[in-house]
Amino acid sequence: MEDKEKPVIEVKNLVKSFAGRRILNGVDLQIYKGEVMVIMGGSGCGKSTLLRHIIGILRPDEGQVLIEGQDINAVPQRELDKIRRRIGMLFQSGGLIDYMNIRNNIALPLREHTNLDESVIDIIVNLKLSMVSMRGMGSLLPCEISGGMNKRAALARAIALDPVFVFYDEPTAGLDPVVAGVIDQLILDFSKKLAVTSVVVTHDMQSVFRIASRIAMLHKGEIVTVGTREEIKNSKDELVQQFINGKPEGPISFLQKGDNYLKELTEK
Amino acid sequence: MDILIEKKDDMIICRVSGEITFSTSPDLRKKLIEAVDQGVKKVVINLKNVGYIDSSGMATLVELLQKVKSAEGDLKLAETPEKIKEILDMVRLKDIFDFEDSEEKAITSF
Repeated sequence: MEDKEKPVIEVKNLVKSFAGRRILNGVDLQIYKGEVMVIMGGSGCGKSTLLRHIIGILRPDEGQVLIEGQDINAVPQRELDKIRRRIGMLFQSGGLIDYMNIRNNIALPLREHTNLDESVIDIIVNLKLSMVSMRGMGSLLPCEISGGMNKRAALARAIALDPVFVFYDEPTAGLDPVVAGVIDQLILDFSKKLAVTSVVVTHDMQSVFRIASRIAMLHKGEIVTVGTREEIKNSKDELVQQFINGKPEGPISFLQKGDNYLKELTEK
Repeated sequence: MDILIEKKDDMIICRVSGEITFSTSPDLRKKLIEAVDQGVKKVVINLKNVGYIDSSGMATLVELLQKVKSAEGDLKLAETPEKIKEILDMVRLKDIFDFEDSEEKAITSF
């Protein structure tokens, strides 16, 4: 179902700094219809920042994000709203509204963006709950369910309007392996059966190799490699091998260097 | 989306073509619910020419099925394309609907 002719999402030379620290350093990425693009990389490498630029929450210092050829930072607000309606986003924290029960959280985008009868909305909510294996839990508040269930409920809300693009920030983090497998299968089903284009930011290597059509590795604000599962598995790149095999030693260093260590330790 | 409804006694045959989506499903719902409210107990929906169905379309079919069954009637889906069956299967709706290969079979299956 993938159309390799023209990317539906294009990131061009994206640059972003926060407080003088460069987080994205000229990111280029093309994503095609119906594919599951996984963006992986160490903590703090800019993955979530990149995702937030693609959905238009953050504006870049330089560069462009094109969705179906439209520069999302240059289109009028009305056009941007139209694009956003076709996007579903699963935030790392879930992001459910805590005073609303799960049913109303999922129904919210349907009530805001459609003219559907309330009886139809009720059934859609039940269908979405069923998709994330949470049938019968609609009346509970977010604080009454586990973190994993919060994430699944947030996914149900993200797909309420049947988006054609779904962005996932750590979709399987905090989930038990079986539920993680269910979420992965959903991502694959959306891609294969509905030609949904997915962008998944994750550290979960098992999930990466289960769902990815292609994998992009982000390191120090740059895409260092893009390839299929096989290409990434067989990559000779030390950085890629260190990351996918979780080796503490390698080019990705967690040891902070510097001559001021004693001074930092004794600072108040 | 186009909807053609043929009425035969207490049965309607509804032929849908195009895409059943958030913007088109309310029209389908209105026409079918109206028919059921007027006493129709046997509903055949021919999906042969439907290229896509979204959640609102699926919810509309579920609501109608429930409504017809409550009135001691039944609903059959005829000539449903494989692609549509796959979409219905994602939310396990293949288990709750009766599918018939042809409109004729659906009509005689009540």
